[in-house]
Amino acid sequence: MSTLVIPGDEITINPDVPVILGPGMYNDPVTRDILPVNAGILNTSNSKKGQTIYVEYDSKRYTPAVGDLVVGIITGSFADSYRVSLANFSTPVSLSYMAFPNASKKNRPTLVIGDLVYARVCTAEKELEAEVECVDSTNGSDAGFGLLDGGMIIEVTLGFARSLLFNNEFPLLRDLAQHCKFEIAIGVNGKIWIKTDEVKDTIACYRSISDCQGKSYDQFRDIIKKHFQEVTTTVEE
Amino acid sequence: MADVEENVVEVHPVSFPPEILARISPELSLQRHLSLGFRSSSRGFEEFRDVTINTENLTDDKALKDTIKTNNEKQILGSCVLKQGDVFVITHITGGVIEDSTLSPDDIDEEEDAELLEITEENSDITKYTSVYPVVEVNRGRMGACTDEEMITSQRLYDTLLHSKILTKKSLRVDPGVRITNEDGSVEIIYPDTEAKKEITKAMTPKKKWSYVLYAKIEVFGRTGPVYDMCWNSLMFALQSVKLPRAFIDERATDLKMTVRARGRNAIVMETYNLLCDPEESYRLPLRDIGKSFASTYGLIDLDPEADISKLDSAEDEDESMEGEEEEEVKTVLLADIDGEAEETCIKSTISITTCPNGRFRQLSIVGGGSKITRELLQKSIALSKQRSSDLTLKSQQD
Amino acid sequence: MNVQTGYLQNVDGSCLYSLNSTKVISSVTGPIEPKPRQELPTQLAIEINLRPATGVPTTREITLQDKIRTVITPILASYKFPRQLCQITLQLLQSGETESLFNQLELAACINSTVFALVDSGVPLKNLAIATTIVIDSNNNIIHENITDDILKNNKSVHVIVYQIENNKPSNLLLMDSHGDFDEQDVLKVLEASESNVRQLNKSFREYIQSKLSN
Repeated sequence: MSTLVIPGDEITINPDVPVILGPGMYNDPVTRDILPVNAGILNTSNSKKGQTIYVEYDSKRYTPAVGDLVVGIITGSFADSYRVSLANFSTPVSLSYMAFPNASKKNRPTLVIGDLVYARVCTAEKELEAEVECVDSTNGSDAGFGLLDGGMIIEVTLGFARSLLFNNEFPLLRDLAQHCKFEIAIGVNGKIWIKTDEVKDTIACYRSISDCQGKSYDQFRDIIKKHFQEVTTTVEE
Repeated sequence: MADVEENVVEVHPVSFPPEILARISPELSLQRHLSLGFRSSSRGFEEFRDVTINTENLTDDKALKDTIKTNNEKQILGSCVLKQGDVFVITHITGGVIEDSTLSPDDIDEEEDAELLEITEENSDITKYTSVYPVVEVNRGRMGACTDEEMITSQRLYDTLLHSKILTKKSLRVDPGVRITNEDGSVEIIYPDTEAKKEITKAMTPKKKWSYVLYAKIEVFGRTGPVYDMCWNSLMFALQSVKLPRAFIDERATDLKMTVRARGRNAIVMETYNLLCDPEESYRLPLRDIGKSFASTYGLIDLDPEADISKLDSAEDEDESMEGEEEEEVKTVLLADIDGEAEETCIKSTISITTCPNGRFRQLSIVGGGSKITRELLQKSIALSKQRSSDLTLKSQQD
Repeated sequence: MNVQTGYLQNVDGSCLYSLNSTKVISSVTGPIEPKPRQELPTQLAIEINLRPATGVPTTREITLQDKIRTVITPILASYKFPRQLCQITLQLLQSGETESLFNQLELAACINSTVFALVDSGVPLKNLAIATTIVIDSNNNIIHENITDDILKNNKSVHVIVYQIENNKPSNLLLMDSHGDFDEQDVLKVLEASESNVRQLNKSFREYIQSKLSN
């Protein structure tokens, strides 16, 4: 069931079942109306808990939500936490020194300003500063989080980053892997970190990923091929 | 568990005297007042503040008579002191003379013929009209750059005056006379519209054209709420009191020409006119009656049933009655002449109307950020604004 | 009406809007961290900057900014982002009217462009606002489309009307800004004429969004 909604449209809600509102939906505190606040595709699904409603829309500005996997930049350090930027000009989030694997009072993490980290949002209240963690807090393992060393950041729209991360059918990474070997970390805040063995491969990957935004699946192959050909035929001077 | 219960602190409801409540929760204070049927200023919903107007007191007549001033020195041509509630608005209108370089004399003659025809008609091209340049200053006891409110009010006054077509460009045109020294040594000023010595004025008509420009300095003291209405009304009264001095040129200067060498090469002929303002002769600024209008502002606010004092006691005990109330139709009230901090910040829907005494509008601005503006409320505010406009017109005639 | 959203690369939302000979680019960035003096404890603050097609901003632009603000503030779901800021910047490319006399065409274009840029940026909106300009000429005819500078100059009255769009229909009147010579009947006629204009604009905007999303 997918329909286009625009802010202010009326949504049919079954009043007998509890409602869970996802992104793009809003419960007005004064009028108590439930309405979509973004333009996009409306998704409703029913489960045992109730009906879930959210709007699938694309944007560029990330606002933290609990559980999101993000790529952040360390912009400052304090007595017990780092300040991390998830999007330019947005309010920074904090990353506690204790939110690392095997952390203790004596064992401090060694990140410096300008480092990239892969992290997960653990609290996100609109009234408070959001927090991220570099550890799986359920079992204390590193779970792939932590410092991203070297490589390059590609900024993409949030919708594109979500497709890359969650959509298993999305062919881009598979197509890319046929040309070179790479390490990748995808943050739903629209930042993609990529690292390859050679600079020219990094450049080709960067250009390919940037260019594939907003294109259809069958164009991906040609775009990637074009960029890899470009970097291999260019002679270093 | 037992421990906790022993330490339970009893919470008393905090109560504030009305004036403190009004500061910390203006919305609630306003709603409580409204539920009792009057406003915090103890006015009724549709009651305006009283207005007193005093014009011409500030006009610098005396200075005008004492010395001949050149057009560089500004002096007060018209003024108005308006008091509405606790707010004073002092307007003084000053002027200057500018050379109208956009038109050559031939053009003007042609244009004037056409213009005469058009002006008689009800409406004509907006470019034939002009406005004054208002500067609004809201005094708050501190110095600094002008605030947005001052800029916005000034611009609104300018726009409304321009579009109400009250001032034609022609009415501000300077028609200079000539000061001549007679054979017997006496000095005399002759104006083109006097029949005597027509041949002299005709012979000495300067090639250049001048216009007056009017500036309005509007100072607000003791601001308590939105100031646009008061500024507009004050400006209207002040404009009606404006007297423009007549201007003349000394005969020796009427066709004085000088050759000026600029950078050694091209010679430019400079004409200098010594345009002076007559200390004795002045005339009223011709205003088109059709444009005279007065402004009033209305606010719309939904009554909050939960803040209703009369229902407060009963609602506390019975939750059911509360539920019933929610289904009730929201009641919106119209408040005339918004004033005070609470009304200014809490009322999001406003209607501002500038109305002529004959019931036609010159300016209307509706802002609908809060309560829904229904046709009935709009019509009610229109009726009130017509009433207010004719009241103020009467007032201006009394003075 | 010609709309192109996502026109600028480095802002969160943008829109190039043109109607007849008025053309404006708007950009939206937000929610971002505000300056301390802009911060509102419970709501999203907005900052609007308007640049004219020629010259530097004057009191005229400040007044336009204020009018845009009165329209945008009520449609934002502002309690969703307390202590945050939404920055809106508008650059006029072509005025389409004599700037010293009028602002009506620019105002309507700026409002529409801003709303579309807000939709593009994903800043939460409770509903849309759509603006239109109406002129009553000296023969008491209502002119509601293809308004040129000459039509404006020969007006009897000029009106800018902004309607709130709820559930695909114009509902509340958000702004009416009228100048000139008119009466009560004219006001009602203008409101009626503008409603159909707004409906039309809303329809074409919806179609634009639909085509953009299906890509």
